This record gives sequence, C-alpha cells and structure tokens, in this order.
Amino acid sequence: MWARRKISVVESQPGQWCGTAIILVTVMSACAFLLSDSALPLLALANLPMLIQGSRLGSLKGILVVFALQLLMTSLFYLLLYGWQSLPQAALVVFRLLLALIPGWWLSARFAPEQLGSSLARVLPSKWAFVLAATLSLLPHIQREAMEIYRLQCLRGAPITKRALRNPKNWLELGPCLLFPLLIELMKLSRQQALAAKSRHFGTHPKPTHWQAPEDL
Amino acid sequence: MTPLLSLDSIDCAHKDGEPALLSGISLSLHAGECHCISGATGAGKSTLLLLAAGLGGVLCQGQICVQSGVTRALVLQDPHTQLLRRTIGAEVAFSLENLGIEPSQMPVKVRRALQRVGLDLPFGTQVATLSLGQKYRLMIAAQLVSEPGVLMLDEPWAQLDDEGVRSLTALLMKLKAEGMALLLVEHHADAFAELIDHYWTLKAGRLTASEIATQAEPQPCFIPSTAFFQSPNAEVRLTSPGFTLQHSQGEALFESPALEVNAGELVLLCGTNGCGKSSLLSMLAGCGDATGLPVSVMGKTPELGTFGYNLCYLMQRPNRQLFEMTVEAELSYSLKRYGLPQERGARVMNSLQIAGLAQHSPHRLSYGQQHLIALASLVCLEPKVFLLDDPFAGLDSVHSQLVVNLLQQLRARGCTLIIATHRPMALAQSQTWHIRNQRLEVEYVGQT
Repeated sequence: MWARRKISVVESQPGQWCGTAIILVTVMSACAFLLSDSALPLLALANLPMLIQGSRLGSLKGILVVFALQLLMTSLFYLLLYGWQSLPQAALVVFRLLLALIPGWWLSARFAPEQLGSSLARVLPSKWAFVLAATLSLLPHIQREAMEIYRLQCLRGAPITKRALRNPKNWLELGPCLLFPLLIELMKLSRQQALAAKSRHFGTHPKPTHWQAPEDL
Repeated sequence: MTPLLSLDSIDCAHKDGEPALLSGISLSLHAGECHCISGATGAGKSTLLLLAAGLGGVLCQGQICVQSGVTRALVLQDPHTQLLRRTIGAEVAFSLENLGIEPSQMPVKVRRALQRVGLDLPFGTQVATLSLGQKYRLMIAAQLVSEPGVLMLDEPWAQLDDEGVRSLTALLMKLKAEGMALLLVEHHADAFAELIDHYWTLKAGRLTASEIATQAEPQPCFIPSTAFFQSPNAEVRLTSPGFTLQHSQGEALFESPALEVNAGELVLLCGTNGCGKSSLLSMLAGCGDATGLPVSVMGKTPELGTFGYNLCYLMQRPNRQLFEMTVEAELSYSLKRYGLPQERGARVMNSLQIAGLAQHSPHRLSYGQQHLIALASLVCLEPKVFLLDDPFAGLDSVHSQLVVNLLQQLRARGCTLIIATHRPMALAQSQTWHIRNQRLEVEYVGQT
C-alpha cells in the first residue's frame, strides 16, 4: 500500500537569498569565536530570530541535547584538569560553540540542499559545493541519528539511560557508546550517499546545472 | 543483436590475496530482456550488481562492455540511504543536474518520470512523508529520468508489500516492453516470474544458468508449540485494555483492542508498508515516540532501559544496529554489558553458520549478512520478549530456516516472539495481529 500516509507538500522557497544567508551564517559563526566575552550577549540576541525560525522549521530538541551533552563533557574535562573554579570558563566555551552552531543549523533547516549547492557552486568547484551542501543538510539528520543510536545502545545494555546517567561514573560512557557510534554511522551514511550520488551521474558533467523548483506542472 | 550490457570473464576479490568473490562471470543483457540472479546470502550478488552498474569498488579482471549511448541505472536495497534531497522534484532532478540539463527542461522530464512510476504528486512533496513503497518508486523515477537502457534492482521484494510488488511488476513489464533491459537480484524470483526471461544462480563465485523457477522460495517453517502459552500458569508477558497508537506528528495510526500475550507465544504482526507495525514494536520496546499508553510488558510500562536483556528488539534495517569493528565484538558487546556468558556468542554464530565471519567488519558485509549479525547479537541474550521487525528480509531460504530454528529454541524456553512482516506467513503463530483500515484485529490461531 503506498498512498495512505498524510503527504506533506512544501512551497518552493525563493533561492536568491541563499547566498546572502551563507555569508551571514559564516560571519556569525566566526563571530562566536572572535568576539570578546562582553559582546557575546549581543551575538546571542542576533541569533534569536534564527533560533525562533529554525525551531518552527525543525526541532529545537536536537540542538538542546547537543548543548547539554557538550556542557556535560566540557565541564567534566575542565573539572578534572583545572578544578571547580574553571566551570564558568567551561560554560563560556560551550556557549561560544552553541552560538557558532545555531547559524549553520538554521541555514540547513531554512534552505533545501539543492539551493545551498546552487549558491555554493558560484564560488566553489561543483563537487565541493555538493559535498558542503550535503554536509550542512546532514545537521538535522545528526540529531535524529543521535537519538536513534542512543535508544539502540540503551537496548544493548549501554549504561547511558537517564537513570544510569545519574551516576557520574557513567558519563564517560557517552563517548564510546554514543559519540563514536554516531561518527561510524555518519561515515557509513556518507559512503552510501556517495554511492547513491555516483549512481546518478554525479561528477560526469564538468558544469552541472541546478534544479529550480517551478510552479507545479 | 549487440547486447546493451555484457560482462565477460569477470574475476574479482575485495582485496588482493583474498579468495575470489566472483569467478569467470559472463552475462549479456539485450534490449527487452529480464534476467534474475539468485544465490545464498553473502554470495556476492550485490557486488556483481554494483560491478555491472559501473560502481564496483572491488579489484576486478575481465571486460564489461556497454553499448554506446546506453546508460545504466541501479536501485539499491535501502531507499533511505539513497535519497539525497528533501522534495520529490529535487530528488528526481538530481540526475539531470549532473548531466548538465538546462533547468528549464527539467520540470517536464521530472514530471514524466514521476508519472511513469505512478507517483504523480506535486514537486514540493516532502520525501520524508512518503511510505517505503513510494520511496522505492521515487528511487526508480530518479533513475528513469536519465532514460537508462539497463535498469538493475537489488532485492525489491524484501522492501515492498504484496501490493507494492504487484505495482512494481506492472511498471517493469511496461519498461521491458519499451525495450529496457532489466537485471534483478532476488531471492524471491517467483514473485516476478511473469517478468523474468533468464534465471541465474550465483554460487561459490560462479554464475550458472538455472531452470525457470516455477516453485516459490520455500517459506521458513516453525514447529507448532503450545507448551507454554496454553498452560493455566502461563506468565502474562504483554497486556493492554486497548489503545490508539499515534504517529509522532499526532496522526492516528490505528486503534487496538484489548491484547494479552503469554510466555511462549508467537504473535505475527501483519500489515502493509507504513501501517504502523514498526511504531507498535518501538512503543512496546519503550523506544518509540508514543508514551503513556495503557500497555504493560512483563508487568511494567515500556520505558527505555527498564527491561535490560529481558526484552530485545531487532529493528528494520538492522545494519543500523551494528557499531563494533568485528562481528565477534558485536556479539560480545551486550553479553559483556549484561554480564552474560561470552560463549553464547560463538554458539549462536555456529547455529547461524556465520562463525567464519567472526573477525570480519560487520560494516562491510552484505545486507543479509548484517541482518544475521544483528539478529545473532540479540538471540544470544536469550530474552523473555523478542520483538522482530521483518526478520527474514534479505535472507535466503537456508538462512531463514536457520533463523527460525533459533527462534524456535527461544520459544521452547518460554520466550514471547512478536514478528512484524509485510505479508501473512504460516509460522505456527498463536495469534495474528492484522493492521488494516487503521484498526488492529486479533486472530487467535490454533487455540481451543
């Protein structure tokens, strides 16, 4: 049976802003690392509209999970190396990472991969543009993938369930049980997608063109 | 007549020095012909298909000739890993982009390809909202748009329900009549019998012509067992007064009546692609999006991490359940975590005849072999409740029967099995749960 699900149709998005958005996102992500601590609240304010629009287009849960995990791991690392006085510093580092991540996350939710690819191809070789666009498009996928792996690993007995994580001894299990498998899964997916792209003539034409979603025929 | 595609004396191996995977393979495909290759799980069928499509990453000797101007198209087993775009219009247009077709010419070509596969939906339709059967058609459309002369499909039967297979057969008949050459890799060749002109068997690396397969692939056979579930003292493993299961977006999938399943029961969960079978199993395992439903499994509300090794869940696409670097490590992971005897892993590998793969990377094995590894890693935990989502997908009849034998052993020890499948099967089940018209109907089988 193949026509039972509720089909969702998206309006074609204007692609002319995609190039501008890529530049904006690059600048904002760079600012997250380059600005002084005192300027970070302003940058956070600038990120707010992206956060609001991005949460309407996709789920905010993933980015919050990434933030929580990153905060946990970094705090633990700082605590072990520099003592508890360094925890505010750890929080600041994670805050900067979050501010660097939000623009890219918004970009991947707001623009379709072909729009990103088309814009990037103006300044990059077409193969690079495809790979970069595919990578950006993977960002929302990583969130789903991480959740799925988390569930699978809990079923396999990894001590990373909510209850198990109450014990700080188990926090270090997040690396081998969640982050490494996520990396393996993404590598596997990249290989499979490379094969899928190759099976559809990727790399055969020196100047690939780009799909522009028309009004439906 | 010159063949559209010919393979001549192909020998190949994954690595230098390894035994030959394919040896002396010769095959010619002419316009309007359909060839079907069958063979045991892990025999090298998918490798041969990749090679024929010009995508093989293996060391190879011999000659592959493609008629000038003919393009080859390949649809792999799992549509999820082949979809690169968000909307169906962009997905189908991807080939055209790579061929440098002018954007103004694309919409007509994309629309025509979608119409050919019966997926005449708006270009902006989101790929994620399509059912598995629709995604498979989309993959075919994405290949047809570049007007290939040869179309290759890797085990379509396993991905589709019966209606999906019928629709696909009708489509392939049409393409064949138009002069396209078709190459199928399929355990269940009988399902496409009206289409196939030449049957081949791949065994020990050699391809040999076989007789026309008039007999269906034998179905795995369960021995009826009533030892546990009819006993008055049988332990209740699953109970519910009834519930409505919803999709993560809030859409109702189906309504269920009261359910009760005892130790040692085998429940067959049947329904077409996208009806909610996997969502139900995920909910029972405590890892679905639906929570708070009045369902009790082993006396507890399903929640992640509640059941330990007493509940195991083999998901669809089991290759996603493999994370370790060797097959042996994969099997010992959960045994170690749960403090269970390590020797169980070797025992189960022997039972499934996969002991020879112990030191292989699970990520480089065939779809069917990965399926077996994922299953073996769960069987060795000897759970009390075992949920299996399409456990026979991608397996030949020999390995399907080996899987059945293992499940039978678990059942004899009191394990409750719930097996989801696209199509009804006779597995000596005690209950069959049919999901149709958004309702789950319970049929009790063989109970007095």
